[in-house]
Amino acid sequence: MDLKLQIFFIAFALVFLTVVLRYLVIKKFNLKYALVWLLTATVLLVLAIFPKLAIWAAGLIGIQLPVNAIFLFAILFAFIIILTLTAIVSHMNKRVYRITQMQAILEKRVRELEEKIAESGKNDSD
Amino acid sequence: MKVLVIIPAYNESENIEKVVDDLIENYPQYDYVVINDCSTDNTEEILVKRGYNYISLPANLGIGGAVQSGYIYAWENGYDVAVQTDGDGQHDPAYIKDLIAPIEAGEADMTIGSRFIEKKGFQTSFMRRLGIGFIRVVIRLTCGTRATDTTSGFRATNKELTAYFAKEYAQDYPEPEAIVAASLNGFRVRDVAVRMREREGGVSSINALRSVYYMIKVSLALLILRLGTRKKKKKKTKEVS
Repeated sequence: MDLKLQIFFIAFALVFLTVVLRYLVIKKFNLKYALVWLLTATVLLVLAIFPKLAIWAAGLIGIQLPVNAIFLFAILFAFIIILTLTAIVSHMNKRVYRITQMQAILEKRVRELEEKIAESGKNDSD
Repeated sequence: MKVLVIIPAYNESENIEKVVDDLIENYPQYDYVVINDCSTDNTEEILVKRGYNYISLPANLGIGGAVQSGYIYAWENGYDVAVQTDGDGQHDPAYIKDLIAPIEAGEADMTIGSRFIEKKGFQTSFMRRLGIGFIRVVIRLTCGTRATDTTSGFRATNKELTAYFAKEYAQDYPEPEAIVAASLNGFRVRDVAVRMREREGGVSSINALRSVYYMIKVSLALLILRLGTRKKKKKKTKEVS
């Protein structure tokens, strides 16, 4: 692999990893959801530092140019991340529904209790 | 038998008063609850002003989420039967007794009001009937249940199935899915003849443009449901001596 390309990949992977870690530290990311990003960044970094690994993996699946192997892995990781995001969104959607419903039912109970209290207050003052 | 009538309402300010007043005046034996699905018109104002029994969702969930709120409410308050109707007045509460009769007798866990048994009253458009017929075939193939009016939102469930729906209920176009989910989980579903009226005001939630999307999505949902559930044995119908 071209040295310039290798340096670019290493720099990119490092910045990527730093951003993910930074977001984790300041609690903008939930570790559960950021794991797959960490994995992606780490694999990218390892492949950039040891391009032989990429060459070996590329040869394994019949890719001529190792850089193409790195692109392929990047796309595959992106797919995995999007897939997990779909699962997460579906799960959250279900929970938002439940919370909305329970909130509405609770609101009804509170409203009725308040009416009851207001009424008994009126009766007491009579 | 404690019966709860669930009335989902989304922008039904034109009809809701008529529907609820009819229930209160003529059918005081049934309790009711209106589910206001975050209407953007003055539906909620009417509910407050008239002192109706209502639940108001803080976000629009669509018909599935709204109806499920009703099932949760029915289950939490120990109702024996939950009846689902529409807030637009196309379902005549006179038929509620027919809907709950097989449930009271223990012959069915769920009944669906069908306008296609007697073929009287409002029969809807040809295209709509075609779609309903198509879903009928898909339901027959996925779970073996015969239901004629597959998108009918006029239906009743017993306590057990109400509890199930309170936990698990489809979101977007829930009527056909609920039939299949109930059947696949061993609940007995039965058709009951009703007559429906043409809606008087407001706009139906399904328009012509969305119908193809609707068909594809419903069919897919039913197939996926079938794949994900191993069919349970149907409970034997209680012998009536």
